[in-house]
Amino acid sequence: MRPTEIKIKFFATHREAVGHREEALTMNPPATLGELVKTLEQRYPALRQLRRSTIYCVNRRVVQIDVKLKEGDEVALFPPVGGG
Amino acid sequence: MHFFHLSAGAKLIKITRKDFDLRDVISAVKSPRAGAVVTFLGTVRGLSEAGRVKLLHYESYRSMAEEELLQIAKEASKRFDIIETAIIHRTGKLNVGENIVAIAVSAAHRDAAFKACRFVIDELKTRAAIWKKESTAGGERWVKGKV
Repeated sequence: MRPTEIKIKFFATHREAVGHREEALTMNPPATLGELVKTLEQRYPALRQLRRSTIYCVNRRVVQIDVKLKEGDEVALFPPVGGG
Repeated sequence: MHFFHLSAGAKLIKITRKDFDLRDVISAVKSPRAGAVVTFLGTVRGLSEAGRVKLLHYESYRSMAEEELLQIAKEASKRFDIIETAIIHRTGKLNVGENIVAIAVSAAHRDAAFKACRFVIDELKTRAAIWKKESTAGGERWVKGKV
C-alpha cells in the first residue's frame, strides 16, 4: 500500500512546543492518530509535557486518539480553546 | 469591507486580523422585520489577574473557528426568535482598548435579541478555536481555555 501523507497543524502552546505551525508526515498504512502522536512526541519531547491539555482534531473535528487516518487528513493539536 | 454572505440567520461570520467598525456589523443584521438590534463589543482590558496588560496576542485555527461560530449562530436561531446574527473576531496583537470581538443580533423584539447575544458570546468563550496570550510586565502567559 502507498504511504499516507498527513498534514499537521499546531496552535498556541503546542505551536511553541514544536517551533512551527505546520508540517507534513508520511506514514505507512493503516495509520492511526495514536501512532502519529507517538512519532510527534519522539520528535518533539515538549509535546509530551502538554499531553494532558491536548485536544486532538482531524479535519476540524475533535476526535479520540484511536481514530484511523487517511491520505490528505488534516490533524491539529492544541490546548483547550476560548475566544473573546 | 468584505463580508462573507452566509445562510439566512448568520449574515456575517468572520475571523480577521483587521479592525472592524461596529456600524458595519450592525448593518449586516438590520432587517425591515427587526425592531431591535443588540450588540456586544469585547475590548482589551488593561488589567488582568496577572497585572497590568501590555497587549493580548490572539491566535486561531481559522477554518475550524469560523465553522464553530457559524454553528453557534445557527443554535442561537433555533433557541431564540431572532432574525440575523453577525460575529466578527480579531486575531494578532491587540493593544489595550482595541476591539477584540463584536456580535450583533437582530430580532422583532428586544428580549430575544438580548438573550441570543448573551448566548453567542458565552458559547464563543468556550467553543471557538481561538487562544489568547497575555503580555504583562511579569512576562507572557497563555490564558487557560475550557476543556
